[in-house]
Amino acid sequence: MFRNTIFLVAVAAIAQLSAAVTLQVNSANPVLLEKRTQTTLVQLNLVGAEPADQGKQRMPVNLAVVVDESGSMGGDRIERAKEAARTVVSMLGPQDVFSLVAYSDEAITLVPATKMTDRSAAYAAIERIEAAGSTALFAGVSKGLSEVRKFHERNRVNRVVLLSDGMANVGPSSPGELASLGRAAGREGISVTTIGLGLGYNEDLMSQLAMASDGNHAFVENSVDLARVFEQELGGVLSVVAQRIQINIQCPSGVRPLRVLDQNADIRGQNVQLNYNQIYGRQNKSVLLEVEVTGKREGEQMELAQVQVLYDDPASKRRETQQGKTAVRFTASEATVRREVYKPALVEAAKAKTNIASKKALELRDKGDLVGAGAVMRATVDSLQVQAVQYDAPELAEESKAAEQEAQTLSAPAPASEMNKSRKELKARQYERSSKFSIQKSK
Amino acid sequence: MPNKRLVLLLALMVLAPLGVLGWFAHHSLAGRNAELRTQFQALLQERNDQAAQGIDATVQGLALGMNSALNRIQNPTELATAAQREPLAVMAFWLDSSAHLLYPDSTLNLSRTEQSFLVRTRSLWNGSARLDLSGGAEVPATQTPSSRSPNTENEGGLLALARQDEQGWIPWFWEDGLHLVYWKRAPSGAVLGFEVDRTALLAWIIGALPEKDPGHGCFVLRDENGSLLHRYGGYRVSPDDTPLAQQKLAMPLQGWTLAYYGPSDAWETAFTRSERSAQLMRYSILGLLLLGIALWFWRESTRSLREARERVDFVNQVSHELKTPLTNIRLYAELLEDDIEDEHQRQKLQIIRSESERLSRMILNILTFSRREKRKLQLNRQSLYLEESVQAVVTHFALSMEKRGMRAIVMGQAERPVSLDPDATGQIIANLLSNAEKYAAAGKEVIVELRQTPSFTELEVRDHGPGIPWKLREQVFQPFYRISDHLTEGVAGTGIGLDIARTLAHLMGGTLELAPSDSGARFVWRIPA
Repeated sequence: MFRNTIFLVAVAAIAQLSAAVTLQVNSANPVLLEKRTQTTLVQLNLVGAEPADQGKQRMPVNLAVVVDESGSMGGDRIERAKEAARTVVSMLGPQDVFSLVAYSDEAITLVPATKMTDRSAAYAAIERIEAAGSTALFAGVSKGLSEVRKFHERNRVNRVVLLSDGMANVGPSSPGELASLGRAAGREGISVTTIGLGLGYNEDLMSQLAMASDGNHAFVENSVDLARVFEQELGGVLSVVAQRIQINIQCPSGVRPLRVLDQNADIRGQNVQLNYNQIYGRQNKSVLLEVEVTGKREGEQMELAQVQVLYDDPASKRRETQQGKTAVRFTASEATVRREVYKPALVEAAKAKTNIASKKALELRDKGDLVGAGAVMRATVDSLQVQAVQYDAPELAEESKAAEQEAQTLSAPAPASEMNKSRKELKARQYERSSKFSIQKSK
Repeated sequence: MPNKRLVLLLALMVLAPLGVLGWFAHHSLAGRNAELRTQFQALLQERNDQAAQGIDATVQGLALGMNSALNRIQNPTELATAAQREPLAVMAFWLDSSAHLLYPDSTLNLSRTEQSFLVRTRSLWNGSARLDLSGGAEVPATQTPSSRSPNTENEGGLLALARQDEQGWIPWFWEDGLHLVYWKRAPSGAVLGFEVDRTALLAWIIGALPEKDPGHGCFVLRDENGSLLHRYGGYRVSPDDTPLAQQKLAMPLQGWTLAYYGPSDAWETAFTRSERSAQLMRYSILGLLLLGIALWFWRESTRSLREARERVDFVNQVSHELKTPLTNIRLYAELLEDDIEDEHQRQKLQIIRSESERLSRMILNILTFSRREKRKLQLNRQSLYLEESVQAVVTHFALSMEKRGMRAIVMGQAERPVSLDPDATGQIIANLLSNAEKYAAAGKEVIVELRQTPSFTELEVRDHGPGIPWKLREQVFQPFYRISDHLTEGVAGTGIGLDIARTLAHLMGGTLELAPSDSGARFVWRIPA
């Protein structure tokens, strides 16, 4: 029987090692106070495996690039955009599908969804992009989605990359409408990555569209950086290790799920459900579930959560499952609680809470309440400093410093152009913190 | 010299039909224009119709997809997952046959999404609110809730609908706008459905629409508020453009409109340009044809004129050429007469002289004729004693007449001088005498009588020949006319003598007429004083 157990453990370990996604479930507080009702965090960590060798086992890509060719894109911008598009095409292989949509007054499909066995037609079409006219962004994205649909398969990474430098003004143009579109795309399993160029685009629209579809979002101030950002995005796409991720967290009675920090989740009583379109290679996706626990007696143990993660695995071409769970035990000693704290979870929680505060502060700044914005951020700063000392975690001190910087940005009065730029930067940064993936930071 | 009448006639021949045709064509074109405009309008409306039907077909296809998805669902618990997988579906629901909502089940724990769904779809389950079914062209009148008994307990309007149909759409208003549900009836009598995101629906429709319009126009899709949803086709719509065709879409997009724009003279560009060019071509072909015929006529008619002129010119030329040698003959004959004493010789010389004079007269006649044709006739009026003129001519004719056994008798007098051209006078008298000599030799006598009154002078030449029929009294004066009977045959003559004589008489203010006579011809030259 012992041999069997070792055998099973070994198999499980091997399975874990070769799994596209590794699941770790932890409690932020493995030890809690007895008898009391307290709040703690269940931390899930989804780790994407090393991406497969290029061109061998990686998932084939089904990509639509949607380019803004409105009048404002004229000159350097459109040239850089073309360069970025060419970069993308050069990274695709014969098993990948590429399509190109350009939009100004209307949306035109320059390259209908085609396998990149011969890329010359794609390059030629990229040359035909010309800047003039208004911004039919909705139509552009719709066409992009329609092209992706032609080769839409579960075993492909299906993606739309949208580049825009201005305000959508033809067709549905509000962030809410584009978010609806993003959600629909997400339901189809197509992520829309949005790249905002310059200081004239609507960052709410672009970030909400990406958020709703689980794509990436970047703010590119200077068009010189476009090619690099596109390259990073495509690098991410090529590194996708799992798709259609569904996370189910079941909490036993006595544990009440409150909220998931900085993520969209469906909480139904004891059950929490999250969905993601993809996990990238080497990505660390941390999910923090805040729960309310009614303490048992000292020495007793309690399961906090049972987690099941479902995902499409391109290697096995099957839907795989990862399971995990975590439990806590109870003590009467507050010191023990403090000592046993699981720092990585705390750090993640700190980041998440900072992001939540940052978003709230930005809302206040939008309304003109700079003081309030500063106050919200500084509360986080203080709390982090306290925690840093409390748990002897220098990482939290680092987080606190970063939060302080952000507090200054959010509370400082500035001319409108400065505010505009910092808003775009903030939105992009907040987005990356939520999505746990960056296409702007150089690796 | 081109004949003015001819030119006028030909011009009329060409222009009149063209004018008439042009007028007709213009009229018919105007009518045709109106007809074409209506036709084109109908075509545009049809094209717009087709585009709208295309949209309808896309939506029906999507409905079919949702239908299949709903068919696969066995129990309410599967619905949450089903909604997540359905691209157009924001939420799903299950209403059992006793009007209980089994999903989302409000007795269980609900996520926030599910809760807000229940709130905004309240009116669907109560049945107390009026369902907005207006505008859908395919929905028959019996579908309206008011025709059904409302307020039956627990009866949702949806269930009532489900009794009549298999599936359908329901739009309703809530806060921010129009929402949409697609439902189908399960065999158990339950009603399953999805709440459909209209934005996503629009995106699917856009994906299925073309990008170009072969008519170089532009299709514009607008929602119930008139906001632009989508456009395609390429034509740039200017703010003051009105749609060439427009229609409302059917359920579930009722309230949306599809309009077609194009250049305002698109219809003209498309149709009448070809029409007009066809018309123009027909027109110009006809015009060219008529012109060709007219030119041909012209050439033909001027040919005879040309030929006639050529002949006259030739004769004229010849006569001119003859004049000079003739003058020489006469001159030398005259000179010779002085040198010759012998009577026999002198007589022969006389004949030479009188014949050459006759030739001279003939040539003069011809030249006069041709000059008249060319309007170059000029007369030198002088104070003339007619008696002398008559005598001179008679003397010239004496010898030739004697040969024929005739003689000319001069009677009467004209003491008063008359204003006449001497050459012309001589020509007139000579022509009359020449005729008498030719045709009235049998009468033996030709009488030239002069009469003069205070108001006129008359010169009469009468003979005792066969005479001229009274009915031909005008015709004999026509050029080239010679009475065709045994008399004229064999007699040399040009037929222009009388014509010349009369012309000259007229030119000098007088008249030359044939007078009635019992026997023989009687010509009267009357010269007013």
